[in-house]
Amino acid sequence: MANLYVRAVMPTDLNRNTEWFTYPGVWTTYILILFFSWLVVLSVFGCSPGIAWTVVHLSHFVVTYQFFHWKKGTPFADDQGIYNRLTWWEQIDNGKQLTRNRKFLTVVPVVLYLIASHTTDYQHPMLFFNTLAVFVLVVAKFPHMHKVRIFGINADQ
Amino acid sequence: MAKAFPSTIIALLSMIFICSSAFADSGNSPFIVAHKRVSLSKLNSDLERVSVSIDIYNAGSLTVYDVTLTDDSWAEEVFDSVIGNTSKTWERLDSGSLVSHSFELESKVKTVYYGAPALITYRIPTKLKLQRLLVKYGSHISVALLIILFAQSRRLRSPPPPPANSKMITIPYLTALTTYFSYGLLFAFGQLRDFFRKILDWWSKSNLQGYAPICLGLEDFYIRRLYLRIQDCFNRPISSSPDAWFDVVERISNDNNKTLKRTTRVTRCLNLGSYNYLGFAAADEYCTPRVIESLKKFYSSTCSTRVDGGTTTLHAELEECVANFVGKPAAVVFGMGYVTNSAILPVLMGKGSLIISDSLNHNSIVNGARGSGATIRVFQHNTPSHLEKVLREQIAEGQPRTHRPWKKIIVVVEGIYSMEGELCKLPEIVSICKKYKAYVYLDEAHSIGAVGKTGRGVCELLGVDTADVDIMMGTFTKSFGSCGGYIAGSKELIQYLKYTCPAHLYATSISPPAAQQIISSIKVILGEDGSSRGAQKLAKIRENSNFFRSELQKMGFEVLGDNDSPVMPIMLYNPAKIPAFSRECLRRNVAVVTVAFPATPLLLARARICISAAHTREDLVKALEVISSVGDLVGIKYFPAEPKKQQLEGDRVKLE
Repeated sequence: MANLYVRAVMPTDLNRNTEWFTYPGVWTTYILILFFSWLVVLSVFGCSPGIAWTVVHLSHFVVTYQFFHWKKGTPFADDQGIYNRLTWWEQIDNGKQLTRNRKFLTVVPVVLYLIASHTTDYQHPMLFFNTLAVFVLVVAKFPHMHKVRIFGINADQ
Repeated sequence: MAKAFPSTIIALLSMIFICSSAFADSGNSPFIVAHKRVSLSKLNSDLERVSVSIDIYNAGSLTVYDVTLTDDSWAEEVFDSVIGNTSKTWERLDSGSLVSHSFELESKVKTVYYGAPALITYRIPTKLKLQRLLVKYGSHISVALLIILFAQSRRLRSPPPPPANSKMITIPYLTALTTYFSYGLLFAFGQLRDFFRKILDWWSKSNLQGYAPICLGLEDFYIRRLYLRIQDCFNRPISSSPDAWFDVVERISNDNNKTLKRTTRVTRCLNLGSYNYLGFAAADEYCTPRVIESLKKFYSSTCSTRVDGGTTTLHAELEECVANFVGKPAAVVFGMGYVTNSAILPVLMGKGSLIISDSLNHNSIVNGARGSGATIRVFQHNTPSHLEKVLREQIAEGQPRTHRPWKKIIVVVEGIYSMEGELCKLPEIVSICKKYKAYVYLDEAHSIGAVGKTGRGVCELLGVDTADVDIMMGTFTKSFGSCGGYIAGSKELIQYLKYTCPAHLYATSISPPAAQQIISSIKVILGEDGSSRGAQKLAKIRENSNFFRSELQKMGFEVLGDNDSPVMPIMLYNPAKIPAFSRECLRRNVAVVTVAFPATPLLLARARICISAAHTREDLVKALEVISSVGDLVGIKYFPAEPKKQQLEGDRVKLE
């Protein structure tokens, strides 16, 4: 690819854990990683494309749930623990809801779900697992679920 | 981002088309086999009775619909249909199933007849039709899209390097993508190793039952899994004074950089990392004898705080000297620069006040602001229009819950930002603050003594009256070759600070020889020692910085910072290039400082070069050669290089 340049504007986010998400190129990298992992799954397992998309969708669910909605705090100690009770999803954009980044991140699992179910021809049991995954992810990203811990799961002492 | 967006879409679409045409399920195809049996039986009337039976079998893996069998090969004049129809339609034919149809005809005349095959038509569902179209034409479409993409990108091929005052950093798009991917990979590997470590630790017992863990959760993840891998590029010990050339101690590691051991070997390296702007870091002919004298008179420490017994005549002289130099009525001096910011801000601001700070302010300011209990708002780096927007919004809203007016509003900016090498837009910011009646706090850590015609900092350089800046802060570490920090302001302010600031009341005062060094270096800068060395140093550092920066930009590096600023960061971006650049330069006896996340934003890792007045022209040329060759090796020349105008006479190439 020839040299395309983009301009990076410094964001006003002080939280080093989440401000990298506001720079150009993140969305494209995310989509490209999903796409290449589909290719990798296809080549390694030699399965049909539908099963490959289901595998990608479910592993995407596991990875994003673990890092966006389960792990709390930041991976460095500079900020002295002010974000220790917040998951990554609750930290981005300083807790503001319904920003562009949040909308994009909500749409991606839904699109993956549609691709996975379409290419498997809506057959069980893949449909059941896919639906469960997308339901959990989308509900976790609702504005009403900000800082909500259902039944005390993942709450602090 | 707007410019790159359509090209991204085109690139994505073309990749989708390529891969779909390569991987689309072309295994599903219908395959119809038909078998026609014609048997003749002779009738009594010497006429033939033809019985035709046709079997249609779907041997493929796809269901077909609307299968129509038409057998028009039997001419009406010759044959009479007796039983059955010559055509039939079936609604669907599943894969692997068989249908058959038979009919009988009687010949009317006695001839020799040659038949023809029957015609069978069928339909496949639309979804599959589209898929096959995609397979067939997908590669053509993708080639067309790639051509469009290439044509469009030719237009954007090589932008001119951005002007030195631009406030946005220009990143090549592919580099941004690969940097995200590299960090993702490093993060994934770190998580994998943590996972296995957790399993192994679960097996081995620990004797710390009942104790709480030191680090909560992921807190030390970055240190353990990313920083320790390249730890030999940071914290390098030196064993001489940080002059233009210094001795770097070699370290070895036996366990893959988890621990480093110092050896007794040293390497003499060119120093491009110390904040030695005016060259006072090494022995100076005017300063050093006076410092030794004061060491003999006052000894190395006052052993007390300022209010108890730690104020000597040197301290009083120093405060007067600094106030005169900076251009303010009075000043107070502290023993440490970081402490100056983090202990003053809580004294000045409290609950109910507002601190508006630049998004790239130093950690000491962030710490002080957080410790003060005031509300903090951040404005976009060096953007006066955004500062005005934030000010208007905050003044209109008032305090967070009660909406009462703010008690005080202070705007904190820096003279030169040490990670960008950029000068602050002080005139605009001061005018905005005057308009909205906010105080201005200027942190001149890197700019005092290094910029301005007589070295008095950004106010002199940008033509701002020092009476307009309410609080001027600075440190003595950078241009004066000493340690400590100062605050300069009105007499009432300094009096108040001396009563309340904890760094003045409880912290040890600045060491007397260090104070003498500052006094002497200020005298040299102002020319009060009777020579013109101060003016020479200031001219030298300006010349050196401009020369170095322009040469680097000509070579194709992305260098940040304004003209006249002695700090120049070279952008590296990729995390793997940080240790590569650092180690390769050290191998060639040039010591550089590389900065990565979280001191800088994730994408924007850089190598920061600090030019000094002690560097000679030969030193700079050697540094340029080394950086150029390492840059080629590591691949950080993101912009196209300008061609060098070479002089043909002589063997030395004159760099223009």
